[in-house]
Amino acid sequence: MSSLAVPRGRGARPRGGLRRHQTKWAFIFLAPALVLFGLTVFYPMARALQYSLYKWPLGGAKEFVGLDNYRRLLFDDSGFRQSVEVTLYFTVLSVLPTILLALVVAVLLNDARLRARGLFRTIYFVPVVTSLVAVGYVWKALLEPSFGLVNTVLGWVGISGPGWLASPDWALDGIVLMTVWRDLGFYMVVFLAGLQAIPRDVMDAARIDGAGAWQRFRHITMPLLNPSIVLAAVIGVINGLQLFTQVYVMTGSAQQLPGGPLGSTRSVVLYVVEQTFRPLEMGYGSAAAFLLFVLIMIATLIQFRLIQRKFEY
Amino acid sequence: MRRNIVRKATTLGVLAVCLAAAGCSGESATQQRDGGDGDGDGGSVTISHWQHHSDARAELVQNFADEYDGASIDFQSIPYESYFQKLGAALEAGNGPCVFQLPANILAEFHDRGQLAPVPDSVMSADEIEEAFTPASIRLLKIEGEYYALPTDVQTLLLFYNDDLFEEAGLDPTQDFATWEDLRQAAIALTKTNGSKLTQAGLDISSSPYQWYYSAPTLAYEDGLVNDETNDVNYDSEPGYQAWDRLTSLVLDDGVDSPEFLAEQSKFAIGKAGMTFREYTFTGVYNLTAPDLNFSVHVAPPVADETFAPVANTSWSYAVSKDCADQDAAWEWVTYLTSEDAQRTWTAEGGELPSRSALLEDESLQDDPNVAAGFASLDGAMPYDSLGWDDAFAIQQEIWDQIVLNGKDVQSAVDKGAEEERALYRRKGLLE
Repeated sequence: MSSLAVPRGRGARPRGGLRRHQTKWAFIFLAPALVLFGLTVFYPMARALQYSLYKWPLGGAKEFVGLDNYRRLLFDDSGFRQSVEVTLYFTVLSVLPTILLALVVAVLLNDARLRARGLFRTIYFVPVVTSLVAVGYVWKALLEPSFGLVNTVLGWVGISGPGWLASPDWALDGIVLMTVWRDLGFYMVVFLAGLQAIPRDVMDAARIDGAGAWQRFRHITMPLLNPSIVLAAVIGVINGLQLFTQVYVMTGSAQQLPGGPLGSTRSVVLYVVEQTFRPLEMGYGSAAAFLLFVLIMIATLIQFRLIQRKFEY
Repeated sequence: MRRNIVRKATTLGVLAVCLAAAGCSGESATQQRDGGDGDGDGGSVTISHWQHHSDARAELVQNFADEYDGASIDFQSIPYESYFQKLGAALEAGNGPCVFQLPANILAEFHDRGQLAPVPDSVMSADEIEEAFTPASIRLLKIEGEYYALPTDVQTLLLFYNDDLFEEAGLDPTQDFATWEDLRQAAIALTKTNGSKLTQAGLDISSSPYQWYYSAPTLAYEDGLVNDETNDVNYDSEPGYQAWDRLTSLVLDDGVDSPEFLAEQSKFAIGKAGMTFREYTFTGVYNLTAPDLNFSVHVAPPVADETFAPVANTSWSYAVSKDCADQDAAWEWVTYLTSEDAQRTWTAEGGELPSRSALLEDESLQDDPNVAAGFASLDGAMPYDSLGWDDAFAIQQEIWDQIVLNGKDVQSAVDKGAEEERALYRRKGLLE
């Protein structure tokens, strides 16, 4: 054991030999996970990248086409462009309101004066632990245009509800609505954890200095909550860009293909599945999947650059 | 201590590699297990068999497999949603089953990929097949002079009446319609509204539209929607435009259904629609799921007086993989599944119409008038011959949505759809 102990003390840094020794052991301990991860994640990714450079109808001969699949997707394929628009629309419209609402709910539920806080937190969190498929079917029924609960309630206040999932103009909004409802609890918990980590003495000091509630929220809570906001935004955007289950469940059935009507809910992931397994075009589907990977990488990096703030307290 | 750690780390690493390797390995489903050597020697041969799942069908196949003594049957009933993905990938990887079920209209696609074995003469010659089975059930199974599958799960698309709603509207539920116009007028009479809102559809179209996409154009094309010789689609022509116009005008002009009325729910099954087009098997499905529904089954009318009315017919088939090690044994099993005796069971218990010609005159199978109507519909059966499955359906759905939801004119929507379908066939190598 002593041989693994790291020397502590002023200016004590592992010397070259010891450092190499530690590095070696780190790799040994990481090896099992790395091997599994490599075989189940990196290897399939590398093969998908390789396949994306081929024209490969399943069952047919593979033909190397270089970047032609990417060119077709980006410049010739209106279906892919539509799926990117749908995915971006969904991501923006679901992630922003969910994070804002969750922040408000978390601040309210963090107030020690509120009674039954635990009950409210549970109520908001229950949708998160409910099966997305089950929730999708329930919302499909709620959003049914002629007898669904949502339009019935809208009718009580004199509003003629839209066609929701049966309408190309409203179908994606219906899915956004369900997603906001379901994800709210998750982000609320993330923000609650962040709020409870804010040191009380900083707040007390601000209060003594005469800062009002808004000033404390604006200048103390928000900056100190930045790591939670970054986490929520990154997770939200990645989940949003990988939209699939809601669309598959809410717009598809034994009689209807998912992604309709008129492709208004066809996300990039659904498009990848369709291109890969409907006409069995492995190369083209792999290229679409890789473009989605690049899109997610770019979106994540932009978020880190725009949202992440360094702070000290 | 240090040696222990190294040993444990090494063991963990090896274990991880083994686990991963085990996960990646798989026995070819076409391999002969139980010591089988591919010589078809009865019980020592194992034939793998895949098909998409329904409770009733799975039970029947399992029963057949249990009774069959020509080989041991390794049967897998796969959920429909993942059936084609799993089958396509497995056949490509060489892990596919020996025997599998395919819709007749996409058999050519699998043949084009070189994945099918022809029916050997030793099991059933082409002449024997043509003598034994109905023409509609085998038309799409013959490719370049050879049969590549034997037919099963024959279904015709029939018009279902809600007899109670017919009588309530003053219509006679015992009569077939003489023409499409009669059907249209009845649908209008059966439609109920409250203000601008539908409360009862004359026709249930939008909850399960594909049967309508199959039926309505088929009525206009006695020779099929796709040219047998060239595989070119022919519905971007005057009869095709008229067929799509007839269909979509039921919603747009006559208002007998709406995509927003009980969206995606089976309006007919819950008594909220006067009529619908469904496969014959729904005679049994409605009996099970809507026991109070009083319905009758009828053949669709011709589009005009004195013209032939082809009845859209879909069917599946049992095919054998070209990679199957014991093809004769596999074909023997398929022959057993499609034999006259087996088809009596399929017809009586599986909700299917027979593909064996000899059974068409068997009145013992037609006690129920709805079943008898299904048998009668086989006279005009015309295989739905679009050379695709979900990929072709997506195109037809798009035509419908463009006209009904997007207000596009019929001709341009149909032209665009036909071009997309041609492009699909070209990608599949089925069209020059």
